[in-house]
This record gives sequence, structure tokens and C-alpha cells, in this order.
Amino acid sequence: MKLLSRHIFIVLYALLTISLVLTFTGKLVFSRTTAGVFVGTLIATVGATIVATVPAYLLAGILAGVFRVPAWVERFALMICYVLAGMPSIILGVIGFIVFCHWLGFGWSLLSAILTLVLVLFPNLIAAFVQLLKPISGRYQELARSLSIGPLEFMFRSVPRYKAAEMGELLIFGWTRALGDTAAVMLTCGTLLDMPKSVFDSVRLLNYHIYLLAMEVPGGMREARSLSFLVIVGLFVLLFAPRLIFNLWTSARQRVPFNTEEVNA
Amino acid sequence: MSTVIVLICLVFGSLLLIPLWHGAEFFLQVPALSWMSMQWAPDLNVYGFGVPLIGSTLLIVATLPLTLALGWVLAFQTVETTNTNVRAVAIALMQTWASLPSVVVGVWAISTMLPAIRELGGSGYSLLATSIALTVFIAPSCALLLMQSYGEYRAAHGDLERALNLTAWEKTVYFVKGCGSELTHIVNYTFCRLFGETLIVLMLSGNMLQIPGSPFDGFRTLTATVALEIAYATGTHELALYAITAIGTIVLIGLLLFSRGRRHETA
Repeated sequence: MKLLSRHIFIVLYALLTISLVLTFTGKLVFSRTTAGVFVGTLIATVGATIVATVPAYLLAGILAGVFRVPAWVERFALMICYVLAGMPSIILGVIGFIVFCHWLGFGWSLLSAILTLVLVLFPNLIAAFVQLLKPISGRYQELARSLSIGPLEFMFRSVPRYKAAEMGELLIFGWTRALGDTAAVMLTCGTLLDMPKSVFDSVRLLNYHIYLLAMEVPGGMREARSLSFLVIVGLFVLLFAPRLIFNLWTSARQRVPFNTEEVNA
Repeated sequence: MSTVIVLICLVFGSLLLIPLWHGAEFFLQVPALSWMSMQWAPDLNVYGFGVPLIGSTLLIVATLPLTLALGWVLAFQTVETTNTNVRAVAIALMQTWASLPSVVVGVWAISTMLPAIRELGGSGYSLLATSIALTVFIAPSCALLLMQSYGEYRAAHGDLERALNLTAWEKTVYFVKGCGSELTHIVNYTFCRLFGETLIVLMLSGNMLQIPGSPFDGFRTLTATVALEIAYATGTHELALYAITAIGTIVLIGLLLFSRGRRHETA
């Protein structure tokens, strides 16, 4: 009882989480869902993560102090990132709709969805990459400079080797962020259920499909719940499995009987 | 390198100006009396932003204090607890809720919350349902930010707090006084999330073009109007939706730059 009174809101969230899981369990139904939905979602989200990574990584290099640029460039980059990070995805979706669907003439297509998701992912990836680079930018970069390794080589060769697991985790984080975003892509991806044959084909992404099933299709709520369950399981695996594997791998390496201290002694 | 970075920033930054450009076109074309009215009827060429603007404002007024209060209580309980297992579980729960897609939360709210609210009155699709669902959804993200700030604050002032034997309420007051700029940033972040959240609002608000007379009435927000109508809008109607986006963009850019300025000043 004491625990409940002191942690009552944490207990409340535990109960809400149980309620969430229980709501989505039951017989799974996928009668209105085609393979095109899953393939389109996979291509759009992975594609957006790949496209957004390089510019985000470069900008993160500036903000983490790897590249030396004039102070005004750094301030300008920081301001753009800050404003973009605070923009709701519906506004970024409207921008994507105007630029990619209308101006560039891609229409409601996989390509428009990928490029819109890049807008959403960009500031999130920058923030994550800055956190990765900041601790190593000072000490290790000095060492790299003494070995005549330039900042670009440091960013694109040394860091990925040294921080491979963390970078992988960050890219997965970007992917999950892209998977979770609906408002931005609902304006640019289209609604066709068919398998996309090119990037200019209209696709229906999974989250938007869930929304349409829940709100527009009579009797579609049961399938929406099944797909929501699938999304939760998928996100859970993507978010926690790499960390778990990395922890197991690290602890397994630590348990190797070879101990350098013993040898030195 | 500077040129490349400036170019990347200019490309992304200039994209934000696009809705403003189209919005300006609308405001120049349509008389102020039309867009300041309470009637939104694109068929009649009347584009009054009043009703969705009031809907957005009411939603924020109802939800922002609830979200901040719940976020603070969660953050406070998590930081103050001495039980490491409870803390680990609390953080995992908050991270899980923060990473959930809004459409999933929407489906959950329709399945569990709407029937309960329907028992109280109305169709269930209401300001109350939307407000509760948004609070439950956004409070964990807010709590994670508050936890970071409060954790840093407590690391610096924890000994003093213990020495003075402060109550929870006193700790809250001192924290608010001590971390004003950080809190402004968190309040603005929460505001941006609430203003921009579309899917949960679309699923729970009922999307009725009316000013809600009670918490059990349906309503419509600015972002929901854009999401619902942009697919088939043409001409002035399309420009009106861009103008709504422009209003949102201006408000949010203003808020974000203000909170960034305050944080910069404090730093």
C-alpha cells in the first residue's frame, strides 16, 4: 500500500500499459491487409533513414565540434535543427505535399513519402548523432589529428569502426521514428494497397492503413487492433533487441577467462 | 565544409517558408472579414478560421496543464524513489509510451476510453476523450525531459534539500524558480506536441465544425482541418489550408525561437 501511494502514477502507467496490450491481444485478423502495405512501409522507412543519415551526420559533426566552422555557421545550423525538431509532423507533411507531390511532380508516391519522412527524421537523427559524437570528439580527434587523420576521415572511417554498435542502434532508432510517424506521410504516400513497382507508385503505409481501418472501413477495427499489436511487437523488438544482444555480447566478452591483470601480475 | 553545411541548412530552413509564402497569397486574396469569421464553408467560398482555431485553443487550454502536471508527478516520483527497480520500470514504461505511434494510442483510446465516456454522455467523440488520450500519450515524453532537468537540479541541490527537509511541494516550487528557462523550453515543447498532434485528434474529436459547449461535445482543430481536407482541396480552398499551416508555423517558430533565446541567455 505504501509503495502504491508513493508510486501511484507509475503504477497507473503500468496499468495503462497492461490495458494497451490486452486491448490488442485476441484473434489476429489480416484479411484487408496486403503484402504491398508491408513492402511499401519497409521501403519508405528504411529509404528515409538511409537518405537522412548522411546530411544529419555531417551537421551533427559541426554541432559536436568535429568540424571547425565559423561561429555564425554553427549558430545557424543549431537554430535550423532546433526549429525543425519542434515542427509537428503535419506541418512537415504539408510542406512535403507542396514540394514533392506538386512542385516536383512526384504525386502521391513512395518517393514523396520517403522525402517527407527525411524531413521528419533529420532533426531527430542530428540530436542522436550529436550525443554519440560529443564524448569522443575532443580526446579522440586530437589523437586522430596527430595521426594526420582529417575530420571527414575521422567521421566516416574512425567513428563507425569505434562506435559501430551505437551507430546501428541510432539507425534503428531513426527507423522506428519513421515507422511511428503517420501524420506526415498520410498527405504524401497515397492509399493504394498494391505492391509498389517503382518509387513513383502510390502506396499505403502501415500506420495510415491502421487509421483508415479504424476510422473509414466498416468493421475494420478488429484488423486495426491486430495490426497495432503487430506494430507494438515490431517496435519492441527493434528498440530493445539490439540493446539486449549488445549487452549479452559485451557480458560474454567480459566473461572470457583470459584476464590481462592476472597475466601482468 | 562551411558552404556544404550552410547549403544543407538553407535547403531545410527554406522549406519552412513555403507554407508562409502560400499563406500570404491567401491573406492577400481573401478579405480579412472572411477568414476572421466563424463560418468554414469552402463550397460558399467562406473560409473563417474561428471555429477550428477555438477548437485548437480549447484543446491546448484543457490539455497543457494536465500533461505538464502528470509529466511532473511522474518525473518527480521516478527521480525521488530510492527503489532502483521501480525507477528502471518507470523509465522503461515512459520510454515505451514515448515511442508508441499515435495511431496505436488512438486505436486503444477508441476501444477502451470512448465506451466509458459514452456512458457519461454524448457520442464519446469529444473534447474530454481527446484531452485525456493526449495527456496519457504526451505526459511520458514530457516526464522524460523533466526528469533530465530535475535530475541535474537535484544533483546540484540535493544535499541542501535534504538538510532543509523540504516537502515535495517546496521542492517543486524551488525547482520551478531555479530552472525557469529549462521549464519554458519543456512547456513550449509540450505546446508544440499538443498543437501538432493530428492522428489522435482526428480519431477522437469527432471532427465537428462547432464550438464545443461542454467537454462531451465534438470539435475540430486547425491541424485536423488540414489533414481532412487537403487531399481534395483546390484553388482558394487549398490556399486556405496552407494559410492554416502558415499560422501554425509562425506560432511554433516564434515559440521555439523564444525558448531557445531564453535558454541561450541562461547558459
